[in-house]
Amino acid sequence: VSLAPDDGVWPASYTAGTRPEERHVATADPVHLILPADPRHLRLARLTAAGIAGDLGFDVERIEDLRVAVDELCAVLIDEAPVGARLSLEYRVADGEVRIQGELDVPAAELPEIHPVAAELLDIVADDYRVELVDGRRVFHLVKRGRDRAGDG
Amino acid sequence: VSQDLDQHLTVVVRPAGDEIVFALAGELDPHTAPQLQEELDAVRGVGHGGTTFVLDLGELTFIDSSGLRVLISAQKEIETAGGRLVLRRPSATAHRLLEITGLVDHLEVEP
Repeated sequence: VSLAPDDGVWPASYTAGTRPEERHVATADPVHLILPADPRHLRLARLTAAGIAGDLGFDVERIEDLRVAVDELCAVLIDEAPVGARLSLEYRVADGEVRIQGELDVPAAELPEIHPVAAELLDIVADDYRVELVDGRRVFHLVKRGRDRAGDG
Repeated sequence: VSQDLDQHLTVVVRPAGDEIVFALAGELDPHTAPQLQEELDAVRGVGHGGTTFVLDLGELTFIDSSGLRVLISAQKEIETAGGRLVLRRPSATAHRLLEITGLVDHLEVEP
């Protein structure tokens, strides 16, 4: 799949290297990652996010933001998860954004409390996020844009 | 020297004059933050009240809120005991996080 600038995927800051139309994005289809719900594996969630954002031409700071955001949200979901629980992640690309949804595969009665430091950080690094219970399971949604929307900032 | 089995984080502790230096390399996240906390707890009892504890963050490739929380609590405990905590030559990743959270104004950071 080749995406041209008019597809809205390429950030305004994209200038270096090959022309956008020469860059082939392999992430138009969703990417699925299933991990044991253990902090040991959070780096894989970060690595995948960084790879997808890098393919989209996100600048270094936005890639760092995304790494932190997905790490924080995954950490919330797997907090005190039972042994054997799994964390499913779906990474999607649309309109110049990376959208990530995470779900823990075990029933939960309530959401863990997000530590104030984590909440403050998420407010800074994520363009949009929410954590919720869906059908008794912990779920997060995360959006990180490759550039500011017109009128932002 | 401590290193988790997956080599996510390496902590090398060495005395250097009046300082105790913790050289961190790798990632500081919910998996490895307890490791750093244990290192700090183990060594803090060795230092006297005026000891300067230096965390060398030059090789830190990732840090999140769990890592920041270790730094914040360490600073409080060390200062309460009459010592200093210095964050030395933070990597670009670490420095940016300290900056955007405003912690750069509350923790002692050296280039």
